[in-house]
Amino acid sequence: METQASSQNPAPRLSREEAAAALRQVEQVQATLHATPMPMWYPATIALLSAAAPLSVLLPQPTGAVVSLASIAGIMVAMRVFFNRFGIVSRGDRRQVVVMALAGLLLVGLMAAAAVLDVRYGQAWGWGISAAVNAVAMFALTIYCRRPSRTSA
Amino acid sequence: MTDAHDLTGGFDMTIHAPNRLRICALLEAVAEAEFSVVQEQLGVSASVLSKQVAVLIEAGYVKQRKAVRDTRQRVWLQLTEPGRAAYRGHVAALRAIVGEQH
Repeated sequence: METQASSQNPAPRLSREEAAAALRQVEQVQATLHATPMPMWYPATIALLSAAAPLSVLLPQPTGAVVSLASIAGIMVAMRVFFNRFGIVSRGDRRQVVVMALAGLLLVGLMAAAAVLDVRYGQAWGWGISAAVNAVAMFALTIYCRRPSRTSA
Repeated sequence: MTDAHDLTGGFDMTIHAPNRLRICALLEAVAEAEFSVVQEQLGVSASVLSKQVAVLIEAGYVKQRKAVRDTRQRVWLQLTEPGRAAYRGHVAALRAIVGEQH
């Protein structure tokens, strides 16, 4: 039985060419994975459902709350369906996590600004801008973050 | 700075077998991948993949999860933390042999 401890070889007899060939295999596998076409229905669905959150504020209650909760549930269902159909669950690398965090701050900030505009000045158009930016940002983020991580090749 | 000898110490015979290295390279890039997707990506038969995955599971480098989809059972594969560390150590060892040091 091969184990982690016993399989490590401190002095491998491997030529530079053989090691380079092995590294090329690694890069080829990851390049193929990156080149795999992915269905566009997924980012489009996530974008539409994300846009529903700011717009739900304009609806009378409790309809607005129901639409908001339904959009969150819809996003979770879409993610599950996508991962099951595509057969790959992405692993967020550090860069993706930072981008997601910054985008989250931007979207929350826009919603806060829209709320201030609406409550203090009676201007509801801020919600429309927030929804549009939400949709565009989530579309782009979904495409960006669904890519398999490529930190090791 | 780590010297080349230290880096080649991460060389792992279990991972180095060509198909196992490719399996680890694919699984390292994702959180989890379905067996059929790994098979398709690597262009190997199910039996070859099963055999190589079994070795990696026995070494504690890969774990599998079974899930039912559309009434069919699917197997999902993922690198364990020791597997991820071993793979990275192995790639570092290969780079050290080649002469690149990252």
